Amino acid sequence: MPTSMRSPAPPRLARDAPVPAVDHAARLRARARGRRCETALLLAPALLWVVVAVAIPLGMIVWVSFWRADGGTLVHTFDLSTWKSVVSDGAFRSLAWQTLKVVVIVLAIVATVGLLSGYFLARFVRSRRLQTLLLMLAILPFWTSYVIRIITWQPLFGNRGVLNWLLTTTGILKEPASAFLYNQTAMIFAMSSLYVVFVIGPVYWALSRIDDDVVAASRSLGASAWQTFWRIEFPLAKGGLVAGCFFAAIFLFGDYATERLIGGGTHPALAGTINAIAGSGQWPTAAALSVVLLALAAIVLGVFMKIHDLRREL
Amino acid sequence: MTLTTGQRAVKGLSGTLFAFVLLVLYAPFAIMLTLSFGERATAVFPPSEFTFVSYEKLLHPSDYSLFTIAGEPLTNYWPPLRLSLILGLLTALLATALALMAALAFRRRFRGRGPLFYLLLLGLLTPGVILGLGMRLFADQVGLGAHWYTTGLLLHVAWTMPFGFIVFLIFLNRYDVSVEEAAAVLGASRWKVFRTVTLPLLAPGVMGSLLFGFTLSLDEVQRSSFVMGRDQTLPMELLAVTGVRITPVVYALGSLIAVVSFALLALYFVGFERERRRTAIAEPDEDDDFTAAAPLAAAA
Repeated sequence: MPTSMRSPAPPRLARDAPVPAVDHAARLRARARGRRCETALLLAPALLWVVVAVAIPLGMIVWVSFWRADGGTLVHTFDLSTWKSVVSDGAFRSLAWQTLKVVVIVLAIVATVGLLSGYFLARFVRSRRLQTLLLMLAILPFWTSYVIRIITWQPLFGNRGVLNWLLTTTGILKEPASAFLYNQTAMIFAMSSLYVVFVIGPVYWALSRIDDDVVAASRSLGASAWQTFWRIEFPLAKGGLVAGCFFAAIFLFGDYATERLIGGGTHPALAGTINAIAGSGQWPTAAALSVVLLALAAIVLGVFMKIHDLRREL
Repeated sequence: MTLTTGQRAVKGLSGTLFAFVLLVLYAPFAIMLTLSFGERATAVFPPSEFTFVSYEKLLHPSDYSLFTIAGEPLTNYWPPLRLSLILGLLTALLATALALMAALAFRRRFRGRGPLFYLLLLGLLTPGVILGLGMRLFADQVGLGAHWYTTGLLLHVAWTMPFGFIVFLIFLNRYDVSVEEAAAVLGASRWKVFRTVTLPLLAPGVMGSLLFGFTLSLDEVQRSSFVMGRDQTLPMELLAVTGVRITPVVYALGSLIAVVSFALLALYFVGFERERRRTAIAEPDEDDDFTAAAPLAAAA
């Protein structure tokens, strides 16, 4: 192009370009090749990164689970002794069961509370501005430090914490109770409060996109509010609900800090056990348990994808 | 619209529940701020004194005369904080660049698009501990030392990149390709189209992706325990200290972090809202989609 783009001359249009003396089929083929090349180049860095940082490490985990730890040394063989001890050990089986149980309970709480909260925002808060403001308020804490949020649990629920202070000064309790911290209930409560945000946002978003006329039409055609919810609003909000639970599950399966700091290690789950066992250098056992955790996570996440294909939400 | 009795009951119930959620979310911060002005070794509520000594300890970690409580951990939080900030920035930039490129590639159909989509999200889908453990095993196998700038950075980018990728897909799926075509027809080169049309339209997405990368990295503990080697990030240091004893210094630090992040987020959302209104005036049809993308990007 001889003239610069800055010149006052009118911009050249593509149709003004001189037609080169090549046949169109070859040009189209070349362009398609160029496109493929561009796609590959754009994808390469991210793919390479994921392969090196995630895919190969996951392969390593599976591989190492077939190694054996003899005392302090690792034996790089291929045998099933680690797997045999993991499968036959009742403690490990109950660990997997506990993990699944906690995840399912927390997801149920988070789904219920998130759905109701999102519904409240979208249907019962009149002004759009106030809706946005309240939603932002609910989302904000997620963006601050997770560690800081869980270490404030002790002054809130500990023996000499706020809740006990309130309960003893109001006379409801005679002595501070230790029931609010370092047990499974406390852990489930903490996890629910950490991850409920994942559900509130998407549910609100899905509900607020439903046209008011659709709801009005349903009501004027004789459906009760309850029927309108189950037939119209819930199916449309389902995507948001599943998306929220999906993300909550991802965080839940890997969360061992909450388990340790708030559960007090009284009810260990797989993530915490893997962390502890790997920390003591027993790589093969930790790797085998990781494969179990991976399988559990894959099943739960797969069920969510089955209920609602989340790619439709993109 | 008049509400039926049932609807009023649902309104009351869901409203109470939402209020309770907000209470549970914010009470910890309020308590933390209150306790940060206390002095005793172990946090007790209500605090009986009001002092800035915890903040002073934070500012002068080597001034031992301030640390008068027996058994109080002497921790200098500044090196871990600096490390966390550097790692967070690097992670945010790298993850955003990788995610943007991958998302642009995903606008086209190509063979293996389905499986590659899941492969790109693998770092997000894998439970945290496993990611860290696997990375460490792999690094040991190939003789790569565990440092923040080797395994640490690899892992943080792998964990945060999928969030950026999702954000960009959401934005790209809601935008009109014909603006790009118009620019191309008018003679702009492919690079020029990207720089002057695509990128400005994606600006909120870029901000969202950077925010995800930075905050998730800054807060990362579940995946980090095996990959940082001797390097301690701020959240790891905090967890290590709380394992010993939680003192008001931790609350002082927590309060500072909370205040700073609330301020930054408020700025971000105000900017986002202003940007949205600007684009909404230009293109009224797009209004809904941009509003919609905000909460999802924030809560996804």
